[in-house]
Amino acid sequence: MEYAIETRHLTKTYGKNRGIRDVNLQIPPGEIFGFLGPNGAGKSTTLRTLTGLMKPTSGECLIQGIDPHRDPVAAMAQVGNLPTEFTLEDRSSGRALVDYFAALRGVRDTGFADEIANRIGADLDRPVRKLSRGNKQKIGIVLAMFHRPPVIILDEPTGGLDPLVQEQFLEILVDAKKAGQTVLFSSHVLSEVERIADRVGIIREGTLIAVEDPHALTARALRRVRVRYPEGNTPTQIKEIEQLAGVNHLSWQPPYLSFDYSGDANALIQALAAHPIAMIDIERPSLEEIFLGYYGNGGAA
Amino acid sequence: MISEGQSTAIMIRHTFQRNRVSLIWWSVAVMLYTVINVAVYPAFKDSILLQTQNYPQGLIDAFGLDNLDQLGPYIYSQVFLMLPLVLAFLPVMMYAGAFAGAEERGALDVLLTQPVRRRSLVLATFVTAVVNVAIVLMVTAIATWLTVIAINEELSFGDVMLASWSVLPVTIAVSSIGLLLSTSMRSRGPVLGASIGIIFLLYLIDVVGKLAPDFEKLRYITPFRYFNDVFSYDIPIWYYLLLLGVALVLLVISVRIFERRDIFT
Repeated sequence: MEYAIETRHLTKTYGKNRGIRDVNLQIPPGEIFGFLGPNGAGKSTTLRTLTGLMKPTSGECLIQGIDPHRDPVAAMAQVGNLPTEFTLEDRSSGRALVDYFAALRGVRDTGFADEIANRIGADLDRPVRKLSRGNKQKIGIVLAMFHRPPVIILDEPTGGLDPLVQEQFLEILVDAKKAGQTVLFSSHVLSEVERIADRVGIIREGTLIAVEDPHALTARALRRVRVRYPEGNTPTQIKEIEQLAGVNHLSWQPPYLSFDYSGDANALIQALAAHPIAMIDIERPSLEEIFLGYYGNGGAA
Repeated sequence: MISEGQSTAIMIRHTFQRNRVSLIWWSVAVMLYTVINVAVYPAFKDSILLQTQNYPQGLIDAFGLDNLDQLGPYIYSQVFLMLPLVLAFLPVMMYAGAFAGAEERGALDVLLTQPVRRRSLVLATFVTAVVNVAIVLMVTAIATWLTVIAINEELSFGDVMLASWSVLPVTIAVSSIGLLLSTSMRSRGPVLGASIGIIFLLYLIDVVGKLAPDFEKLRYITPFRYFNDVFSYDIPIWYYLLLLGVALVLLVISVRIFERRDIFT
């Protein structure tokens, strides 16, 4: 088995213009793979097909070399899954659910559930119905990971978590990677993918358009730059900046110079340093803006 | 990894525990209904035949109104005749919650990504529903018999048990329509509406078939035709087997549909 997760020409169509087309993914064991895309791009469809919830229209997928549609029991024994929109049994406590799923998995030691719960502050003893959305999400994370599965599949796992808990959770994923577990997680938050993912796959309108290093992606991504110049000072190098590769939509409205930039950071700094500035504000773009800046409207690199 | 049988047994236990409060309420409600109806029998037994003797035979057949001066047929007409119709909702609600409702809420996403087969979940829910109905019927039988003793009437415990258990096959058969719809559809509300509608329609066909000889043949399609007063008639064993067979066929179809379809949230 070369890959922990593999899809070959995976295609799933349903509804009108929905689904995924010809998705090829190879994720080796021990890798954290971020799956990026705007809402409706096909992230969840890919993950649901991988976890056997949806049958592929064509192509195939393998988890630890096992097809989840041919042998769902063997495949899911290898997986911990956190769906994007899930509900847990309201009357049960997190601990009761851990015990139930542990029984179904033949797992006797559930001590790791407490360890994860402590790290992210999940309350396993209260009934689920008395928990907030964020706390239910924490229970979902515990349920996905308590049995130390070789493959962890998480669909938008940080939704509803506060920033401190998100930080703890990302550290847990890094620890999982160190323990040799493979993590595939979807997100539309670039910063969290950039922080921990070894590679990132970008899906748009059902097509996997790129798989690459997340730092390369963000380095080449478009940023919105706004420079404020000291009162009464008009920069002399506007033309120079305008001619830099990667500058778009430049506007000068004293005392602000604003433009979108997707080029080399050093070239920009050098150009700006030629004249005193009062303040610089570089805004990280949304994921959709990255796609527009990086791939253009057509979605091709 | 545990065996399929073990995981099915674990799911049966879990489903049973999850539905225990509902089971208690159903048992209490049906027990009270039974006790009240049986307890008033002494007040009616001398006059009830006079009230019904001029009714058309079809109406008497449709609502089990013959031999009402005897306790057994009276209990059948007042308690057991309607019990399959009422009791069918217990499994239908369980099925709607376990499949269509669970899919609608996103609960199936969590359960079905455990190492379990979908057929195990269907089987576990079906078995739990059958056991729950059987428990309610057992409670009904015991409550009936104790009330019969309390009003100083005579009816053997065996006859009461037989009457009670005769309800099980028809209840399981008609409620399996709910299983089929729950495993096919993705929303609890429409499943409940359609199941209840179809079950009432089947009951109505049986009643109309009894009342109007022209429609008698229509009764062959409804499971209610194969359920009757065990105090007054010998019910052929194949009636029960046929009803259980219908339930099994619907169970198998439900499994096949549920195993093949996509799960959405």
